[in-house]
Amino acid sequence: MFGNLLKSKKPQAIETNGLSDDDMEPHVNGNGVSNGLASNASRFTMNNGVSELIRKPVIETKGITKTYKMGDEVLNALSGVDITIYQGDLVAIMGPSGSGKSTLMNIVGCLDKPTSGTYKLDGVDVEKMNDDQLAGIRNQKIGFVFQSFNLLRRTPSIENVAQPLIYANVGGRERSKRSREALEMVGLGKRLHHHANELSGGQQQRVAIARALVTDPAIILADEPTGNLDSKTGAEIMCLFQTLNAQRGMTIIFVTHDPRIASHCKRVIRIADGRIIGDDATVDFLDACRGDTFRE
Amino acid sequence: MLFELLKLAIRTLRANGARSVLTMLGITIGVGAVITLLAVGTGVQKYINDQFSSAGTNLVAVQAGRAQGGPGGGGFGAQAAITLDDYRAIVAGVTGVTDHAADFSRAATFVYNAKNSEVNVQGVTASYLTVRNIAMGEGRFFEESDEQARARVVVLGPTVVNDLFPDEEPIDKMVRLNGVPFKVIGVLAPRGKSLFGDQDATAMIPLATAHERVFATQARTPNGDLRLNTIMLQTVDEKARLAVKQNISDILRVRHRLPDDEENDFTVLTSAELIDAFGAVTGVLTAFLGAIASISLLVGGIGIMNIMLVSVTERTREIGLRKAIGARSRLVLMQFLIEAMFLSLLGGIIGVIIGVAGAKAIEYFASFTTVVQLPAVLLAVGFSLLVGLFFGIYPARRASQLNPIDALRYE
Ligand SMILES: Nc1ncnc2c1ncn2[C@@H]1O[C@H](COP(=O)(O)OP(=O)(O)OP(=O)(O)O)[C@@H](O)[C@H]1O
Ligand SMILES: [Mg+2]
Repeated sequence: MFGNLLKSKKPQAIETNGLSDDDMEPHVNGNGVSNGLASNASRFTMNNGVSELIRKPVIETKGITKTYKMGDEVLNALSGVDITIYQGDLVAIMGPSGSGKSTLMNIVGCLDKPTSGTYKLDGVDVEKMNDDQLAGIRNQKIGFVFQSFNLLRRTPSIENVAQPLIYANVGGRERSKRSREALEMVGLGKRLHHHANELSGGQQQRVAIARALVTDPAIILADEPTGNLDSKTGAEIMCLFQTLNAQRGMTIIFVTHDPRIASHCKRVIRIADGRIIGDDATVDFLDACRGDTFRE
Repeated sequence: MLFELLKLAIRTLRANGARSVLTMLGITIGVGAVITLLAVGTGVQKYINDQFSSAGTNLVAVQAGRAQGGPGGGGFGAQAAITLDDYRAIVAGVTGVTDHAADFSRAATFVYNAKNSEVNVQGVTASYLTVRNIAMGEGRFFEESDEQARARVVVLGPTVVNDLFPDEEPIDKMVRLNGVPFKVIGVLAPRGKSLFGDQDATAMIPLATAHERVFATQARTPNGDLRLNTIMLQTVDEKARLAVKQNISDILRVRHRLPDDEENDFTVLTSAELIDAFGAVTGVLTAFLGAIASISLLVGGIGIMNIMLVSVTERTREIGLRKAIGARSRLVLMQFLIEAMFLSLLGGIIGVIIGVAGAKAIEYFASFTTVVQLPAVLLAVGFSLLVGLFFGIYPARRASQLNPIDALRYE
């Protein structure tokens, strides 16, 4: 069902992928932050991870640690994380509860700062950016799906989805058009005017996903985006991610506990006790859009 | 973007309807009170001004006794009197005067048709009406010749007519003042109430008639001079006033044989001085009323700050989310400021409406003219906006400085 919607966007997506930096008209109103991530996507790397050598790293962390001081106790949520994520990656992060997945996602999403270590986003040291620049990045480069949704209660879902576009200075009409499209993509075309607190958990999760997609960001960071979804809807969301990844070259990183969800990714990073304990490329990952992969 | 923030503010305020209205109420009452009280104060000022200008401009009045400062002349200390001879001497000796009048007033028993009442009877010169700027209603006023003849003619104020001639034509009726028969020859046009009482509760007779026929026993000083209450002179223009005043002083001091080190036993007042003196008092009154009302505006402002602080705390997660999806700190600051200012501005505008309505209600029920001035309205609205800005800034800054991830985790 989402596949059809996406297919209609295909020509546009492919066109953009072939353009150089200079010609690139950013999808999101490019206010300072360029959409360079998507632009340098090389066509050759689109559908498989073979030509790693020419792929551009978008996320590079070196020795990232995050410690929380709780009274006298020091808690190491992350202790030395080195990861490199390339343009066009589709990555699942797995690990037990409390292993530091959300902490890592928050840092990668520029919502939080590491205690030590460096983080380069698109080649730029995040530590050197000021708050306004970070806000711009969060607005235009990154779409973040929170583990706890963080929707505005008593606000229609279409308004919820439209919020990032307000800060991107997108006009009202364009805003509602794009918000409606994003909600249709996640299968909520009939729930545009429901208030967030009138939706089921899974529907709320999908509104949160639509809000992350609406700015057409280069990177999607999703903290357990399918945690509240049944396997069918989960597969549909995975199909959506796979399609966005394949057709628009979006870099997608998400956290999951479900190995079947992870099997739809090109790459699975395993984390335990704040350390990376595994990083495997999956060459022949499953196609979620075929729909039958989940059915037992 | 500003428009978006305004829309957002309106939606948030509507979502918290009851709370917003209650918060606004503080400002509304404050602004309403400021507007109403300033309107009353300004009304009093205008009223007093009108009183004195209706009494005639460029007027210099002489009264017996020493004014003990303050408007209205205060109490008159010394027993010294001003007399008819003083009046004649002043008229003879002072230049720069276009017209003059004098009066001698006492209460008298007024009898008509077996109806008895106490009326303030003014013995006045024929020029009195012109000098005091009083209009006739019907009939005629007395003339110089009536005064010379000590004619027993009386002109009544409307209140006396209403009391004693409820459904009769008063002209040509015979009445008795302290037992002396008089013929009613005219009725004055209504003048309304003044600071000193009902101006229409009066009966005017020629000065000489008062002195010699009605109040013969009270009219003379121990020296046998005829007393006056007030001598009034109209000067040619504003500038002549001070010279005339000095002139009168000089004449009266000589006539009253006052040594150099003794103060005047009479008081010379000019209308402008009275207006100024009253203006100063009513100005202070207006400012005082305004200040009292401003306190309530201030309290309203503190209410706004309180609610905004509650709102910031309550909406910490929302603020975190907004920052997480790309709101810059300045926008968050502006969002909360706009909310606070919108609240106080709306409260202020409603307050203006209520304040004007209050002023009109006072005018209607107290039959007292209030004056709502545009500057007062602008001041109140501007002030309420400022209150919103001032008291909104602290909560808004708190909101804007929140770290997104901490704010999102806030419970
Ligand atoms: N703000 C904080 N203050 C103190 N400790 C924290 C804070 N945030 C996270 N932690 C701790 O850091 C560790 C990692 O937390 P994190 O939320 O990253 O886990 P997670 O892998 O996402 O778990 P889950 O799968 O349950 O979501 C946990 O032990 C948690 O208690
Ligand atoms: Mg987590």
